[in-house]
Amino acid sequence: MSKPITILVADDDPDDRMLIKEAFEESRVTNDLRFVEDGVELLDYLKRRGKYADPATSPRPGLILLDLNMPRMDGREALREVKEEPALKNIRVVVLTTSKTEEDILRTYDLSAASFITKPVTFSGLVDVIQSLGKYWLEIVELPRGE
Amino acid sequence: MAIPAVLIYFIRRRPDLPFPWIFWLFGAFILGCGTTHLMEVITTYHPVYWVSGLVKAFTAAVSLATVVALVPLTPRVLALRGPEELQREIELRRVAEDQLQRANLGLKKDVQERTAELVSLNAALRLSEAQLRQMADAMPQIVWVARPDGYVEYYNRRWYEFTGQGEAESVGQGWSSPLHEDDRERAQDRWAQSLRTGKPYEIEYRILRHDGAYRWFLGRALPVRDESSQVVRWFGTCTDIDDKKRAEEGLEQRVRERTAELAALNEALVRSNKDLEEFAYVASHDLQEPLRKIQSFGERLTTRCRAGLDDLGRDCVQRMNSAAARMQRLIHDLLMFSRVSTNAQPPGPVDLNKVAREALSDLEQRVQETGGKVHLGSLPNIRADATQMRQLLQNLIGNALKFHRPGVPPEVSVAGRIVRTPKEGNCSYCELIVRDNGIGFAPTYAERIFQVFQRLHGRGQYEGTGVGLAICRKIVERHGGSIVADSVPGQGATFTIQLPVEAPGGRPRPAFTRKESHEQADHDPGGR
Repeated sequence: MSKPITILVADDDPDDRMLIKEAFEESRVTNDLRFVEDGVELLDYLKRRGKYADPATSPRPGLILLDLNMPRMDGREALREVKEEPALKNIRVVVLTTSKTEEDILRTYDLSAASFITKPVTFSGLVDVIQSLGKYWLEIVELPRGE
Repeated sequence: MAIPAVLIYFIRRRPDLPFPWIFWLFGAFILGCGTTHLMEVITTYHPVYWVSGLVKAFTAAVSLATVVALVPLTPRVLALRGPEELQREIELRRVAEDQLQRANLGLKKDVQERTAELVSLNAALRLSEAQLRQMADAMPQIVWVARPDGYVEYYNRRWYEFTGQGEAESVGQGWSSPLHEDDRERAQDRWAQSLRTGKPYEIEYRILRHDGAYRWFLGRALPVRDESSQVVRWFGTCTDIDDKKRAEEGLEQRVRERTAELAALNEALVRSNKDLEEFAYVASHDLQEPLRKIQSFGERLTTRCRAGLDDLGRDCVQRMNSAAARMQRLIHDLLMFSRVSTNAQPPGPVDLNKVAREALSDLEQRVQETGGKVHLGSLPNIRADATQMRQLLQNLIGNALKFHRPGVPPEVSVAGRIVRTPKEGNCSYCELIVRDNGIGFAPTYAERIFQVFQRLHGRGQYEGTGVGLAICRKIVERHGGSIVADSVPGQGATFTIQLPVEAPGGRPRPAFTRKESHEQADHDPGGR
């Protein structure tokens, strides 16, 4: 029932990356997790550039968890680029960020992100979110089949 | 011969007779007649009949001529007035002459009297004029008089003393020559305007003093009118206002400078405000982020690694977590405190009842937990920042609920009224009283509790960072009001707030007053 899709997480903070990994483990969501550190790497991965050229080692994700505040290219820009690319715009993007400004929320939805989630303060909160995400996106919702 | 001689004599003596030639004719006739008579005598001796005949013919001719002449003459002679008539007329004429003489004499007398009057009047006039001139010359102002056409015919002594100009160059239009060239055209225009419209003349201009210095004068003139409202004269003055003008200019200059200073200060404060807000945002955001990590990893440690941790280990992690949580709250509260000024809104109409209800709904949970009752009285409407009013009430009611006596459910009352005060320009203010039945505090702490991060209890006893009342005071003072606390330990506390009904100013005030900047410097988040 749970889709075996690859979940791509973009977050510049190594601690957050670790916590997210731990949260997935805690919530027993066992999907293939990939991590990139900023917007540039995200696009490289999606477009199969550089070290992500081989599709076997860089499977196309069915869901992207995107942080907004990243160096080099932040989440907002990356989101815009992904949604402008016909081949990529169907991938669901869930924004997971520390920001909770009204402006960011508005802009994110304007750019057709699927959801906006403020990173919980506590770890248990994060686990709850990942659990819910898992249930919603992987079990309840239908996603278009990948390539 | 005798008769004509007489006639001739007569004519000679009265050349004024209107018809002398008749007399000549008569004379000639008589002469002729006489001659004929003589001829008669002669002819008896000498027979010169032809001479006699000639004479007779001559005589006949003359008599004919006379007749002819007499015809038109007769009516005229008849018309001549008789001697009695003439005499009467002469009499009448004489009477008339007498009367005329008398009238003449009377007239002469009148003229003499009148002349005497005029002379004395003239003297009085001259005296009066002299006095006026003295007065005009004694006046400290320049006085001048102009004709309706604008020709200035008189200046008092001051003018000549001041300008050093002579009379010849001053009369007429000469008043404009000692004027400053920047003022001259303006003055001439104004003068022309006044002359045209008859409206009083008033202008400020600079006049050149004899020593080369310009001084500011106030020139004024009023028209004098006759019975038919025509202007007959202009009376004018020039008053030295130089000192006043320079003082004014000095004042204006100082005002300009002060305004510029204030504008610069305002700008600086606005910038400072902006910097502060940015700092607060960054501080809150970037400072809180590591705290979250500490908490999250702490949690991970206790849950996943429970087995690997002994009691001490768990205890340490626990305290670490608490500390991080506390720091988070401190940062949050500090941010709230700083935002009272940086996030201030311009005042608008606020229904305090609505605000109180909103604050209460946010405290719903605490009300439930403590089993408390909050009684909201009827609160007035004022002009203020609605968000901050809500913060204010929320903090106060929240405190009232929090600091309840153990085992005694809190009872809080919020009352408000408008007080009209005759002092200070008749403004009215709003008084809010928040009263509770909680633990109270010693009166010596009545001021201290309003300081940032000042608490009267250990953090084990009551939660909170001690910034709630500091925020309340800051909000209240920003609105131009005041807040004081009263209490008896163990018998609850009363907080009395006074707020102007109209919050001062439409724009947010600058971030700091001197007092506030002191506070902020003392509680610098970077320092501690």
